[in-house]
Amino acid sequence: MPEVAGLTAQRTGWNTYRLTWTPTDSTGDVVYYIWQDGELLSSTVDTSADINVDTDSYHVLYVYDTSSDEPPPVYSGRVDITWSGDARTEKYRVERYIDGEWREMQTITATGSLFHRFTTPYLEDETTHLFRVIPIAGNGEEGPAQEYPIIMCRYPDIPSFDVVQGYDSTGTPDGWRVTLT
Amino acid sequence: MMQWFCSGATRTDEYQADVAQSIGGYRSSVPVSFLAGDRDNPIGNIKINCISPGNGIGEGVIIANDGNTLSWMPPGETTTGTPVTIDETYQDYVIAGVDTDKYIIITRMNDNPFMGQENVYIHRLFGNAIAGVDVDITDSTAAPVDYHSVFFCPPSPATGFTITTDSAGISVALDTPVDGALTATPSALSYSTTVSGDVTGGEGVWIRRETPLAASPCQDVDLHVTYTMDGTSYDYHVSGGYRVSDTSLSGYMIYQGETLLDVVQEADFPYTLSLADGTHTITVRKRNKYGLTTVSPQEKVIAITSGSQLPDRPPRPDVVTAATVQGGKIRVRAIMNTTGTGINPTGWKVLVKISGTMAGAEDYVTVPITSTGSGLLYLDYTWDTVYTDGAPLDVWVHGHIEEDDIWGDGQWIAYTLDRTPSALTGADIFYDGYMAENVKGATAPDTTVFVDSTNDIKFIVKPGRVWLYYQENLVWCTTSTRTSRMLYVPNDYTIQPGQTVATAMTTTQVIEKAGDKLYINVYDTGRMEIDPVAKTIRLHTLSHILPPAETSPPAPAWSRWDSTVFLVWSTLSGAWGTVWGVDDDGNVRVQNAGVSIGMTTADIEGL
Repeated sequence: MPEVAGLTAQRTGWNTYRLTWTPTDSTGDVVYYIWQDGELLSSTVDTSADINVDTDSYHVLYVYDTSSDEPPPVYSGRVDITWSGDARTEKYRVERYIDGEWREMQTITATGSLFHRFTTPYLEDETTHLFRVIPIAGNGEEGPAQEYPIIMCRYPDIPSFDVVQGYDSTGTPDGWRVTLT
Repeated sequence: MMQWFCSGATRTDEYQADVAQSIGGYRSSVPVSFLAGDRDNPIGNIKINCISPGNGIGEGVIIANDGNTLSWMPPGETTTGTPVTIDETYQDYVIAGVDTDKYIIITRMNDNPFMGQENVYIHRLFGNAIAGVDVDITDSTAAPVDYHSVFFCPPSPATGFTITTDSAGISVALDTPVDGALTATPSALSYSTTVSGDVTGGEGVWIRRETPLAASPCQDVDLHVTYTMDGTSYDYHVSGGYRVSDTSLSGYMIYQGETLLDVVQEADFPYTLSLADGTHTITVRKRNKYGLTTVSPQEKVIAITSGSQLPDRPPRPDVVTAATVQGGKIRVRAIMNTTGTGINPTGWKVLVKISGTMAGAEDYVTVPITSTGSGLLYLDYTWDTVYTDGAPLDVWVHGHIEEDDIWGDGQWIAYTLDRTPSALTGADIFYDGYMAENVKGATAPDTTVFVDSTNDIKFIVKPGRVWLYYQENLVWCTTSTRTSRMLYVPNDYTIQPGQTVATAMTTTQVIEKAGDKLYINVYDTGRMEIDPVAKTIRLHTLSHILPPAETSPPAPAWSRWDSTVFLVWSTLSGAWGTVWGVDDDGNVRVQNAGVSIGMTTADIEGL
């Protein structure tokens, strides 16, 4: 049974959680491997582990009892756009196509490195997002833009919903209504 | 080394980079992209033009052996290949690992000497010319089988050329171009999961893709390539990925317990459920067209009696802490956040029991919640039973609504009773110094200050967020002349916006406030900054002028008995120490310093 059973996360502090799970056997010799967001976080022979997380963040956790098991891929909602620069370029303007027009997201100064990176905001799922990078020379002259279409495929957001009692037109209870909130 | 190019050009070596058009026709001048490299701490004056497919996915390293020489350590390797001297700018150089299938092609962009090393994180590429473009299996215009092609071009004849694939729905066929062009009828070729032949020039590979039956966020296409060229055997993989969508999957999945009731669209809400009397767990997950569904969805638990809904259950407490107080009783504290829920718990249900023993609802103690309305609710309760040292205890806390006896989900922690005095290094720094005589019996300098009957003094910086919790009625501070000063703090004292604390406390420069922050001078060089907005506590030198020059303590705070212990810098010993000590009556208490602060763990940050 590579993935442990009974995995629970109990909040122990503002940014800390304690993971606990059911031991695979009673010998105490089993090493458990804790994966967070697709990366191996730690290993332990205990049946609990403390983790730190950022506030308002979203994490996918797996615990396995073998080193050979790996979690399924993580589908991030952010994408790194990277490009190789040119020594003559002073800065790069990153733009995003929104509502029919290109809007500036960030201007990145070329600090001598030829490699540059822009991390997109959290992107809407099931949507093609269009970004472009425009090189700008020291005299302000702009070079040709390089476009980066991004098809976002990630885990959907958690729907917020409520369940309330429903009533018919006479005010008589009529089932229960699930509403998105 | 074999070069791979897109197809679909209208003449040989025309620029054609559109993967969707890489179907037959002539060889494009655009190489096939197999892998992408994300560079960390890059060597500034080189540009990576190509990462060979043989490298695979993972982390490789480029090392500058000297100002003109680079070497490459591919992913998964522990040694680099032969260093390559790169003395010309704007020329392509191949830097290979020990396995020459694993190489990168770089260009030097200026004469600056190479320095250091960089990591290159190599990723799979979606939608390249090997994998093809994404597929929507609900697109009625899409063919059940599609074809795309690439060219492979060895610099000299290759023998024993073989491509094998075990990717789902993928088969391949070789195609020798006629007058430079691949066939216009790829379906007429013979496809297999293994093809082979001798290659003398630019050849074509057709990739036949059967439409998968199910949606997938990642469908791999992997071609295993082997051949011999110029006496060297080559063996590597070229790969890519594509996505399969099924728009009929998109929607909201409504569960009752573990049972999927329905999949509906946003327009279908409100969605009507028929629920019998009892307690029901309703879950709504969203599923996208790639088949990915919400992880860890919100659950809604409703209890129905005689067709009517009982009040919502209180939420599970966020934080539960336990500590041993004097005499061995267990002090239990918890926080429950009911903000925005509209739920008004009337009490807490608290249980401390020996681990492994059975307990029922009757064993819980009900602790009333005196505040009204929702928000952050705090439990601070001392369990009366005295246990022996080392007893493994379970501590349970639930929110509770007295009417209808509604219990929220419980939060549980394990706690082991331990009254052993701290053996931490430096624990006696303070009372060994010069203040030990003042632990008890000091006369209050300000008799107007209210101290509550529990001898607990709360200093609330911002209600509900950060507060300081002192024991023994005292906040101990020292001035820069090392004269001890005792400061009484009123219970539940709240700093008002803009209030000058030093004036309010009728003492001088022991506690001061600037902006939203509170500063306590804790020693002759100790200065503690409490920021209720950022929810941080930091220690600084006393002499700093705002904004403070921060000094870092060597360790974070930790829990000990009924307080949280902070390390304090002692200029007497030149070390960090704690403030715990043993009184004459044998009880362990906070001693002689104003920096032993009790907080819930929720508020311990920034140290």
